[in-house]
Amino acid sequence: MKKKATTRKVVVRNSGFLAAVKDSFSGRASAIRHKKIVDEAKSSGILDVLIGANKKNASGNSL
Amino acid sequence: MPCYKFAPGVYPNTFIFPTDNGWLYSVSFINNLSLFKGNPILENNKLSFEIVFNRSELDKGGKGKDELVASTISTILCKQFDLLGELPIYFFLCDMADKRGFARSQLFNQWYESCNLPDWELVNYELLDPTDETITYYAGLFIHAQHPHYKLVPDAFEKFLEQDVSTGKFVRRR
Repeated sequence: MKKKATTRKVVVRNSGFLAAVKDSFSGRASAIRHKKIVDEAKSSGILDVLIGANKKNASGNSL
Repeated sequence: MPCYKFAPGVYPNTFIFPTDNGWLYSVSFINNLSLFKGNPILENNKLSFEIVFNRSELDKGGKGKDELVASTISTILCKQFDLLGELPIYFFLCDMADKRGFARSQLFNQWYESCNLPDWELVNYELLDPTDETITYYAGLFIHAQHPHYKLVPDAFEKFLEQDVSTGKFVRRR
C-alpha cells in the first residue's frame, strides 16, 4: 500500500544551505541549463519530433 | 496514464517535453556533489540528486491549465526512480520567487500519490528562515524503503538543515 508523505518543520540554521537555496531561486544556473537543453533539442531535431509525436498521440512513452 | 511524449536532454538524467499550450519543460535530476560535501550519509556515495523543473515559452499558444503536464512529470519521476533503482536519494526545493512554494510542494505530493512507487517514501520539510520569520521554504526528500540508510537519511537531512555552522549548535522544532 502506498505510504502517505510526512512533513517536518525545521528552523534552518545552516547558512551555507540557505545561501544555496537563495542562489538556486535566483534561477540563473537552472535557466542556463534549461536553455542549453532547449537549444540542443532544437538543433538536433528532437524537439520537432516531440512536437509532431504529441500532436498525433498523447499517450505516454518516452522517445 | 496519458501524457506528453518526452525525450532525454543533453545532460545526463535530464528530460524535455513540449506541451500543446506552447510551453517547453525540462526535468533534471542533478547530481549536486557540493551541497552535502562532508556529510557522507547525504552524499550517499554520489547518488544524491536534486529534482529541478524549468519551462520556457515555445510559442504563443493558449496558456490555460494543462492536466497532461502533471501526468508527464509524474511519468518521468516514476521512470527515473525505476531506472536508477533503490540506492539514490532525491530531494527538491520549491521555488519561492513568486510565493507559490507551498503550491509547488503540494504538486510534488500529488505526483507522489499518483506514481506507482509503493516502496518510496516522501518526507516534506517546511524550512523556517530564522533571519526572516515571514518566509517558509518548502523542500522534500524521496528515499526507498530498501535503502541501507532508510532510517538515517531523513534525520540526517533535518540535522544538516538545523546545523548552525558558525557555532555547531543544533535547534529543533516540531
